[in-house]
Amino acid sequence: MEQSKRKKRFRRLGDVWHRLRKNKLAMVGLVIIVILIFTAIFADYLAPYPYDEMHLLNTFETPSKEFIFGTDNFGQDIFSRVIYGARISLRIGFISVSIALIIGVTIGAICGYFGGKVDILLMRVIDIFQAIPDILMAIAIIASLGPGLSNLMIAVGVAAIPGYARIVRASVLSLRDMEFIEAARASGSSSARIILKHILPNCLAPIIVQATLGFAYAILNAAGMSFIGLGLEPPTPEWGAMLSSGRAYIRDYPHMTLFPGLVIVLTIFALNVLGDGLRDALDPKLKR
Amino acid sequence: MIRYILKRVLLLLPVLLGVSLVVFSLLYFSDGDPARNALGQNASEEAVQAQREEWGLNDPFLVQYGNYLKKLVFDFDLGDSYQSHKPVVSEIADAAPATLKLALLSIAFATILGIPFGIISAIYQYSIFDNIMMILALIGVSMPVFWLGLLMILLFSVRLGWLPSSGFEHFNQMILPSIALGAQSTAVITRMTRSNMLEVIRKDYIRTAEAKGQKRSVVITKHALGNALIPIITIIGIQFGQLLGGALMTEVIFSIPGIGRLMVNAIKSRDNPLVLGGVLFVAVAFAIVNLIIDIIYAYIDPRIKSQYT
Amino acid sequence: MKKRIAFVLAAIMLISVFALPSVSAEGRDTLIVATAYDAITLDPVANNDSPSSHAMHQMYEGLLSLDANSELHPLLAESWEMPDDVTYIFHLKKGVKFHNGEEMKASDVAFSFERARTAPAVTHIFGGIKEGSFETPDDYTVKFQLNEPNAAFFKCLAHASGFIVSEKAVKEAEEAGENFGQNPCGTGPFKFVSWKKNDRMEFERFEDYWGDAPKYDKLLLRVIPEATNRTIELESGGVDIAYEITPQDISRIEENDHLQLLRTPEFSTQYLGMNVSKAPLDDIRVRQAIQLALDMSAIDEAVWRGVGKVATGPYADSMQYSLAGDWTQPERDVEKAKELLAEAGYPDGLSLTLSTNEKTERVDMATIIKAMLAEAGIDLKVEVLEWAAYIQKLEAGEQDLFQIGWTPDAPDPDMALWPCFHSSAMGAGGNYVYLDDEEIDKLLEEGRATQDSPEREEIYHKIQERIEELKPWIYEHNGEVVVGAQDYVENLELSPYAWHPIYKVSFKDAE
Repeated sequence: MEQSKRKKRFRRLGDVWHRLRKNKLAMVGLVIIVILIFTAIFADYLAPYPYDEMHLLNTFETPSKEFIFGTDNFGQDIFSRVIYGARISLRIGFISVSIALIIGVTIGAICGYFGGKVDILLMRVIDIFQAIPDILMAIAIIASLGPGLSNLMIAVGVAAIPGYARIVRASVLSLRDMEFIEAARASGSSSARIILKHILPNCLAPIIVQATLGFAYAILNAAGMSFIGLGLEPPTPEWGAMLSSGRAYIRDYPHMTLFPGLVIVLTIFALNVLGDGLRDALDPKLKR
Repeated sequence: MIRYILKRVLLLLPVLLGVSLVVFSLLYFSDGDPARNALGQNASEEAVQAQREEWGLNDPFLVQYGNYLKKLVFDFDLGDSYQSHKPVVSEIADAAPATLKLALLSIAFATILGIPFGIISAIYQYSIFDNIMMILALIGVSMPVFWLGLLMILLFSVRLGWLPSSGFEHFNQMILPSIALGAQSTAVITRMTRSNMLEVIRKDYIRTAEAKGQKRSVVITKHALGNALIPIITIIGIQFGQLLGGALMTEVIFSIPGIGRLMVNAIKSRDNPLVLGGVLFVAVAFAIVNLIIDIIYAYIDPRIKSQYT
Repeated sequence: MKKRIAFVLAAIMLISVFALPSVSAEGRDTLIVATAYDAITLDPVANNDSPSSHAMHQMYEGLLSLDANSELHPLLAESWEMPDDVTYIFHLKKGVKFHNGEEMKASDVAFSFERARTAPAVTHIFGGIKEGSFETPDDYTVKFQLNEPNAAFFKCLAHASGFIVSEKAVKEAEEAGENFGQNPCGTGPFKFVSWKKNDRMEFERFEDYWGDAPKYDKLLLRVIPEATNRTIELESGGVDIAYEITPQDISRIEENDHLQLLRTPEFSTQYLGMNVSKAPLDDIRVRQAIQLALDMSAIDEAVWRGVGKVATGPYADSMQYSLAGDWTQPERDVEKAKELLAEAGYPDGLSLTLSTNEKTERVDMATIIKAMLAEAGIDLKVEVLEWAAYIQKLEAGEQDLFQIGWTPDAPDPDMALWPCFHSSAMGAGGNYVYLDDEEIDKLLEEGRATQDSPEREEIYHKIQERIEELKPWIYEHNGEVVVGAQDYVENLELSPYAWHPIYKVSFKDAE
């Protein structure tokens, strides 16, 4: 029984992959993401210079053979910094999405499954968090916890919780009264087991899609925080911080803002098309 | 309908209470002393302590929060800014119009462009226009407003010298910020309109109408757009909520004196009453937009109305 | 259905049209100035920040004024006497009107100074006045005493916190429950009209002004925080004057035929402070090692690119008795730095934290300092804090290294050195390096009590040498005021404090 179920899930995964592969745009996105992950892992080998190596005699160099993306106001190699930046941005995306995911899914599942007073109470809390704009929430959290990478990830993550909670709650609600759940309940499974074993696997699709899009949103939000001066300490090669520090020199040395900006756009683009593709692939009903 | 609006307003109250509690706690636990900040670096320690006493900053958390609520609920008083000593309400009233104008203009821009683009893309599905629009829309969705804004200043203010890069008084000063902020919404609305239109176009009654020999354009505007409008309005509502966040970046880049910059400055200077008042204002504004969206729903689609009685 | 859609679309359009304001034309009777920061208040004693002071200088006046060369001139006071070294008697100008139509009397002066004496933000300037010592023998004479002799006090009378306010206006504001800082009333050439926070402040010419009337009717201060935007506005003619021009825009303005660039040295000194009360920076050898590991001239050049200059002493060389002009930054010597560290017990280097606020230039300097110290085996963590959290940290004495600047409120060495080095000013007073040196304390006290003279000069030379010996600071940078203006702007005088008297500006006739 368990065996065949697992097989079935694998077959479903295979179907999803099959459908996703047909979506050219989504595949482009996937390839970009894979390259980014690869870049992040092998940054030490790929980057021609350490990200914090200053060449004070070579400041503001425009792109050349020696410095592919040029150098910044400290003579740091922008190409190397962009490469190392992949590490920072992916880490921010991954961890803050995980924070949002774990808390959001838990709240959503509890609300959807138990309903009643618990649901009303928790959803009011979610309402409260949703009523504060993400960026203001993140700024207030940074002001409260202090700056730094981990606090930035918490700030960005916490701000994204309501989205996950709502989506999961909606999916759980639609599943709660289905026959197979009733059956599991009748056979004496505990609530936790039912949620973990039966309900969550069946609402993975919207969670995965939201997480992919949320990943993009987290990177953007973190970059935005750097932009208003609440980002990471220098010389951390965070893309948003690079873009922000290049802003003062944009008229003379646009390459300082151009390249970090392009990489952000590319990353967000990849995550967006992948997210869209996954949505279509995971839920054939939605397909036109 | 009035009962429905009343109910919604009543539901908003506990949310606002919660918002104030969350923000109050965050401020309470923040590093940095509001009194020191208001009096400046040179003020003596005694003077700062006296100021803390006056503002009740030495009281326990619950007393402070209770006093804040008491003033808010019984006197409708958000207090005075620690920095300017002006009433928080008047600070917000000064800054809000710019942000609201910015948000409205950008959503107007997004709607006016997004809906026709989406419709045309749907009608001529898989045409060159459709493909270009869809790629542009995808890029638009991925473009952070702070980068787009900078590029636009570089092109239109610096290179071409067509439009100013700062301020928000004259219409020509509003063009660049509105486009920068509205670009993402335009992309989202274009995509939503297109996919909704496609769904509707395939529905039988459109085919029937067409078969009856009605002009294609008439059929599309009459039936299809009408039915596709509801999801589009939803998207506009969601985008509007996100705009308030994006507006902050736009205000920074284009030096616009709006709510976003006011709030960031208030948080940085630990101007607690202003931060609290500002967040509450934004929460209320957000709720009002959602309510209007829901009323528009009911107006466009009478079937929904019955739910609201 | 069609009608409804049309309605919705029309509503959206209507809203967007509604948002369009009318375009108004501004003639040459208005001076528009782009500033980087908004004022905090227009109440002279409520705060002590430079943007507020700048705005207030256009609409208030003090008893004395300082010119661009730091010379004192009579303003609202016609003459003065000092019967002994703590008593001051001022004879006021007659017929001076406040913006509310009242005549300025001795009682207003006493009232203004009493406010300043007790105002928390400016106690370091006016707190030395003796309580209850004000006397007004007639309407145009005011007399008061200081607790102790203070040679710097006289120069402080030109500071914004010593501006004369109308007693009646202050009391009226209080009674109406309004803030005087939002309803200001002074005697200056311009009168306050309106203030939209973070956006603009408007003034109009005060017709009953006792002195030379300004050459234009309206003064508009626009807040444009982004440096790039300020320059763009200047180039496109949107503003007449733009402040705080950044290094990268200087040549752009110089090369533009329609624009002029003006610059003058500031009195500010940026420094890298070292908390001498905390190990390992309590060891002079570690402090010397850090100095030797840094090439401040190179850092200054990389960050400021020709604006201002690298600092060589505890206060600017343009000020009285400064030795900075005779001194230079020590040569960088990484090997020597390593030796000193080894001697101090850190042969394998050490880890330190450098705290700074988010001001771009400070963060940039910190970034290079980190790289340079790494070569000497010092692992530096740069910690960027918001201003509020940063000051709290400095006042609690938790910092190792930190970067901050100090601009004395009056051009006197006492104002420059006392707050930064006297042991009574440790922490909140401004002595963030927590220096507690008997000799310096004694000298500072002597210097404060001695009127300007060769003896006073000698005292301050000794103080500077002692500071250099103890090395609590590594001098970083002396600022420079850089202002861009249209070529038709005339009589624009720059103040080393950035309190530019723009009410004196006139426009060249031919355009």
